[in-house]
Amino acid sequence: MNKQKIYSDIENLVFHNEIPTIELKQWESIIHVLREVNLLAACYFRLETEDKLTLLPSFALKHMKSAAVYSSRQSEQVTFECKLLQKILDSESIPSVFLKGASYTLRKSKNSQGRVYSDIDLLVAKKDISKAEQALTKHAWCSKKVSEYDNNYYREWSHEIPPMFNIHRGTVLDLHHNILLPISGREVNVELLTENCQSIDGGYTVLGYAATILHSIVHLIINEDVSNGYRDILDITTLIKENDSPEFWQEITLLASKLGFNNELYLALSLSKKYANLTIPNDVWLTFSVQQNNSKLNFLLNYVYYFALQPHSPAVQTLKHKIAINIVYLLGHLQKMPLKILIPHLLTKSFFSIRDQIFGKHHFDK
Amino acid sequence: MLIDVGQYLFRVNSAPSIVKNNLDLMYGDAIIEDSLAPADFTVSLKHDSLLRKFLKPQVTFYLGSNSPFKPLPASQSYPVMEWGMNWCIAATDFNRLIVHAAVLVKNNKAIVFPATPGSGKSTLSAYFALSGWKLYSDEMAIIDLDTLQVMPLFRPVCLKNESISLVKKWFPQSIFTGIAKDTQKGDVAHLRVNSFAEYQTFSPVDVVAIVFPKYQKNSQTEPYKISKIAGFEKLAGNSFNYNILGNTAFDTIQRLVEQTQQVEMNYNDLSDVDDLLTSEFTL
Amino acid sequence: MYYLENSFKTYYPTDGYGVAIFKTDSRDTIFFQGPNDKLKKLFELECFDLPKFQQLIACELPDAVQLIDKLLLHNIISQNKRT
Repeated sequence: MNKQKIYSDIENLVFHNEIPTIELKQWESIIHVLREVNLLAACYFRLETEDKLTLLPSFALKHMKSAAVYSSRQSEQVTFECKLLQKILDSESIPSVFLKGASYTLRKSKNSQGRVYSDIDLLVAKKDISKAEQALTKHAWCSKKVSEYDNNYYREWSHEIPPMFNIHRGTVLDLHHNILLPISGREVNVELLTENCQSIDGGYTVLGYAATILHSIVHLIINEDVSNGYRDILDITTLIKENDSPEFWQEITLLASKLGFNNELYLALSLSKKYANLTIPNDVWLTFSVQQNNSKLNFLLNYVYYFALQPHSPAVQTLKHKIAINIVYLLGHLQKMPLKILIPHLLTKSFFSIRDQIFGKHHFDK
Repeated sequence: MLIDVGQYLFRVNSAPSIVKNNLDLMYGDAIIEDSLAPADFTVSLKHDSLLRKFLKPQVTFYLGSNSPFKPLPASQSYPVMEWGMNWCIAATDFNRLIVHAAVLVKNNKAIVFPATPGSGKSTLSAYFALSGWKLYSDEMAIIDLDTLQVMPLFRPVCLKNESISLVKKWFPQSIFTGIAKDTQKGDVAHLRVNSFAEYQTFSPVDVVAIVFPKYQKNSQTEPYKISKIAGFEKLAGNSFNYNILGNTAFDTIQRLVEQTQQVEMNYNDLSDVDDLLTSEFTL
Repeated sequence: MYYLENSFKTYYPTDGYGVAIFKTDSRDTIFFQGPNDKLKKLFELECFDLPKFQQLIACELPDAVQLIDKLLLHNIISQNKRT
């Protein structure tokens, strides 16, 4: 089957809940791609909301349902973990904010259904990081074993410490004090982001919706790894649709402006329009007149990001997708770190990759 | 190539020719070039790094673009393919309870043999399968959450170390792959016990007993009933997807232990086990 | 005083021995040995103290303490009253 057709069926299914009218055999590619990009469960829940599950052939339904069972289990486990984490941090009076996947699960936003993620992300103030790390260590949380180089990278340059994991349950926790690499010079004024935090049921704190969506956008665009890009755009689109109001648009455009992320917001909104036909109010588009006239940015939008975010599966990928992904890889690194640090970083990383290519990835594992 | 293992359809995108030859030998008519049915999994076995390809060849198993295991020596290619296929099933099917166990069926009644240490379940599977029982699986009991029936799978038996020569001695006509040496399980070979045509006559059946065998060289074959709570605990401990299914698994196993008998059995002679189980459960 | 939490479900096998407990929050499954009539009485209580526990389960003090520790560890009971 034609790759373009497969992609088009997937886009309609994922973003518009439209079940393609195809032969049974053609469902194979669709299910396999959805599995690769971790969207099987999300599709299940979205179709369930629209009462469309009975329209699926049993082959598709069984795979989606199985994925949905897995994701439900994960969300129950995350809820349980967050309850314990909140207790630990409360006992030490450390204010904390849950980010990303965990925040969607805890606040039960529409995009949380079927979403699968590997880590819990927690934001604390920079001054509280050590105290938080110590408190967690007392409750069976350990730092993951990373190479010495990566350990330094995390602590000196990054906005998080090396991941921690729970000895008993294996859950992985990413403890952040900011959302961008401080060294990149694009350190976010984290206070602006946490300004309108929300308290939700259970005593948890999450970012306001505008900040949440903007965080997701920044994480997507200023990133060299876009293998979850398709799911990220689905998150962003779903969250926007759920919160569509004049107040919301005002808040997000203002926040993006204050933090210097107008380009990123423009890119994400344009991509949401392309994939999901998202309706954006005219007055919001008007605030992007600079971006709309920026031919380089629009080239990136239409010829790089639009392809780089599509599912990274051989069933839909062509040469232009691969080129786009490579461009994003380079750009992502460039944005996160100034060149003089990037090159040694990449060189070291590349050395490890080349070394692993020659000797095999696990040769040096203990 | 496509492999129909009964409950699942695998598409094998690429594999070394030695693997393809063994797949042919083990699966026979279950291999088809094309089908109107969609495959559940697309798998491949690829050679690893550049240098290693020449010095110490390694292979990696992939489901799509993801590889669940470390690369392993190319001499173990065939077992890696089989273990990879096991992984695909256990790691993605949450619609059924999947227990790490052998399932043998006689007279439309199934006995589930969980893979407890020292059970010798693979040798038992091979012996029973070639002695008039139907092998539903030597590795995974796939249990329907509503009916509690067990599903038949068309897969070869994985035998290790001394079992290989034992089974060859007992059944000189048996169909084996070559032996892969020095795997993490020791020497490994696969054995085909049925033709695909025979397999296609198997259907889902009720489970009558959960049996925990323990091979003990100098013992008599002695069965004894164990408490249902002990049976529950062992079954749960041997279920691949118990934690994922959670509440559902708890209910399913509860109903299963109530519906079946749980027996521990020391043995040193498989024909005794055969006779005993046949009479005990009127099979 | 120990208080029974309410976040679990039980299975008492019909052969009269033991109980399996599924915790709905942590999703853990915990097993206890012993005749189920006594265990049933225990898990139907709202709260109990050590003497009552020993009387119900009919065991020696060290075993009682060990059992209580296990129940506490898995959050089946707690020393705080449920609000």
